[in-house]
Amino acid sequence: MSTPATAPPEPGPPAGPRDAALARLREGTNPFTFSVVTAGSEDQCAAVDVPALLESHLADLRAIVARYRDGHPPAQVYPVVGDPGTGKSHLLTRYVTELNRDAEEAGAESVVLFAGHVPPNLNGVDYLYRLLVDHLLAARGPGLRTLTAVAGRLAARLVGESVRQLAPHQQVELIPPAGLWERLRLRVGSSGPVQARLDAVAGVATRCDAPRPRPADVIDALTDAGVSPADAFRVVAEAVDRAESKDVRGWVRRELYTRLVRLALAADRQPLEELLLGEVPHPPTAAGAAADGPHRTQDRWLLTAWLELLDELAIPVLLVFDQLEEEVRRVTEDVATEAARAFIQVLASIVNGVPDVCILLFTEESLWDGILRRADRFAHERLTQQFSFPGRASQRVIRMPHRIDPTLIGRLIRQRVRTAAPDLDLTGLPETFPFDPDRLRDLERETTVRACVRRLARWYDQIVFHVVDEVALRTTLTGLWRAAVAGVAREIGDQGVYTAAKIPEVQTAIDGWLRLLHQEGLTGAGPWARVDLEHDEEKRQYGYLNVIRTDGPDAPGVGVAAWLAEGAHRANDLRHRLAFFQANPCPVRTLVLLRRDGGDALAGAAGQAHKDAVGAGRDVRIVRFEPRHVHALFAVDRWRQSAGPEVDAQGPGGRAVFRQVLEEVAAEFLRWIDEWRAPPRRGV
Amino acid sequence: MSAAQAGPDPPADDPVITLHRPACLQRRAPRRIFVSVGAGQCPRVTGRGVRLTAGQTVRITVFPPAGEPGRGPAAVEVTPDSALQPVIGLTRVGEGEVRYHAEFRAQLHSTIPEFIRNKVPLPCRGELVVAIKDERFDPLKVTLPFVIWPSLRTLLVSGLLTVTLAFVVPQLMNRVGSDRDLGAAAWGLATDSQFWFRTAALTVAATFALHLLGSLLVFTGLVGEDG
Repeated sequence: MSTPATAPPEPGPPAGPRDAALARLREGTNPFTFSVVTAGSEDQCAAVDVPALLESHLADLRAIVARYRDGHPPAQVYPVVGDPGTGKSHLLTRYVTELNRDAEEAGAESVVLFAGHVPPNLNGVDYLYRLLVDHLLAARGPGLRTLTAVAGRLAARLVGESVRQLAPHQQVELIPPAGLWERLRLRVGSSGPVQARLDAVAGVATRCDAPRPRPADVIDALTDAGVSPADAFRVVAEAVDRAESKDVRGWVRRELYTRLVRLALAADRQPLEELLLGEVPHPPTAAGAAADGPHRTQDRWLLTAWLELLDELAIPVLLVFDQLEEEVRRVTEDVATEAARAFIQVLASIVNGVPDVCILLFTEESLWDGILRRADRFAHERLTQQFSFPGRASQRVIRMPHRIDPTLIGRLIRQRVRTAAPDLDLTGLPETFPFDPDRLRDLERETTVRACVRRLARWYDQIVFHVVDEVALRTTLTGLWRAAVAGVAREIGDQGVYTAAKIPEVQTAIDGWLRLLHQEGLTGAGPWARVDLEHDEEKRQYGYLNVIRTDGPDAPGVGVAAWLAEGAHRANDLRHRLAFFQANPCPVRTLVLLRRDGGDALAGAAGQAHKDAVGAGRDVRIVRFEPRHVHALFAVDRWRQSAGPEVDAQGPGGRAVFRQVLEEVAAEFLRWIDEWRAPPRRGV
Repeated sequence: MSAAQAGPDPPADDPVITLHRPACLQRRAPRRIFVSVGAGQCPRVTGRGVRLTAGQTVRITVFPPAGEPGRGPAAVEVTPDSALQPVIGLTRVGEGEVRYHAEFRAQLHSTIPEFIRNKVPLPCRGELVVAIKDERFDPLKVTLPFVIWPSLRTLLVSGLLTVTLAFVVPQLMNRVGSDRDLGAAAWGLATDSQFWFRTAALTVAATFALHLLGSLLVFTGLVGEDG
């Protein structure tokens, strides 16, 4: 869990276009926080959309739906599969937005049914009918729009066709006379008003032939011609009655079509609702109830009539399953299995039993494969039918991209930045503003758009709001530390530094550590006045000594020396280091000798020299170290170099995190120093 | 558009929906049927149908429905009954927009001898059926009813004949009975201006009465179909 630390606002007016733009962005919200996890709204998705990201997938969807709009392909499942965050839901939302826009602007209607929970033991055909009725009887939204469009087009088709089927004298009678004189003229069949009426009725038919007419267009055409909608409805009802058969199919068509025309011409929705909700039983002559009850049979006939009608009006039916994981992956495996079986049954029965339905399924590939494994042979064959696009081999699924095209990241950033500040003038700023292009290379490793957007959201907070994601930075710095230590360990191993020649290098490394700690204010139990690296040329490699001035800048402090010897060897090394006690001015009051085998292994001349020094009242301490300490000693410099850009990018907040991580990795060293600055204990 | 597909058998309860093309939703009716007489004028049309006069020529122009892509235009047939005698058979005309043209002559009561066929002073009904044939569906038929009236001359002649029989001959017989001289009696009538005035008035009245009778028959639907 990150704890944002907000930096103080920048003082003074912004300087330069970049700063000005950053100041403007700071007034808005982070535009990268929106990433579709379940389903974003159409507006949200449209605002952050980069068309080129999913253009090829959109083209595939368009091609699939066009087949159903223009022809009569069988029902088929088109799975769109991909890892979470690859943009499946975004793709769906964008495509549905596009379909809605096509419907509103060009009248290219589509029926998009979003499948929800699949009730167990319900046949797919009945499930599809429920979805269709729920969609069309919606009080608002695309369902209402589609119903209105269907009613309008059907009314236009039937009004145009039925008035054309009328003989001239019937057409003349459709338009009542305007007054007594005209009534008399019509009574005797005067050709003047007759011709005017025939022309007007022909005009109605012509206007009804217009592409994708709305109910208002039909009513306007009738009103302009002087035909009352009630008369037009009567003519339509008679024509439908003449044309359709007297069996159940014909009865359902008659009922459905006339009620839709009534909706269009009289805005009377009630009769249609009664029919669709099963409140209008079919007459005895239209018998044929199946064993599962007359209503279900009637529902199926109604579904048939609807599909025939939508097919005739070139309106494709899309059944969409999104977020399938929610449906199939339930709390327990048992329920999941049951849900999966119900889902398979529904899908297979729709594919098998309902023509002209396009089933779009957005899911994770592994989940889809799991579902198919549960399917029996009958269902499996229906759910894995291949499809193809021009110029491409056949395929069973549409796969979402596993990589985001690096060339599109800039567009993605620009699009989102625009949503944060639409009025922001980005002239002269790079497309990747406010991000550093070099840093964006890290995104190439991401496999999903969502992951990219989330990282950009973190970076945006850091750059624009100076907020540090501590957890992320801490993780990064810790990882870099481990990598640095591991690198040193690989290079020098366990024996690489145990020669006198390495003393300067080791002492310099210790100096680096101490200066870094001092610089970051990490001085353990008390402050340090200064950190020095004493060097006595005459003692050659033994002349190096780190001094921590714990008691004042010039007061003798704690000297730290690496004694890279074991057992009785290198007594000379010890004697040179002990000589620092006799230096003027004396730099040390406590001399710490870091030795791999500790003080217990001292023997021979070295042991004697140590004993003599202690006996003379010198505070000389032998501290045992391990190879890992040496690795850490040498790792700190390369760690600081690699962590620097990460920390600097985060600003002051990043510095604080760096300090915390440094304190953690130096904890043992600081504990040692706290012990060394304390007076010697007896027997040490 | 059957949904049945090859493969293992479906579960027993699985319904299979089969879609057909609803006949009422097809554009099968002719786009327009023009009926014209004379030099292209619109005929008189009453609630009983198109009103023609015996001997009058009527032109029928049928614009067939627009064919679907990939299919040719629907076939058109125009079938008159015996009240409409074909003058020009159904002919396809026009280069771009397809239309069919035919002409018929209206005639009265074809079942009676031709020399008096159109002399009957009462109207009769006729029918002309325009059928649009599409192989996918039963033919769609639009029936155009006609009411064929005798011409005004026929009515006048009929009225005059009636007056002659009902008024002139009795008048003449009356005069012959008193003078016993047919020539003198005829001359007397011929020089009687009142007689001529009455005869003319009665002829007009008889003509009008015949027309009224025809109208009554048409109005009550008692006018008979030809044949």
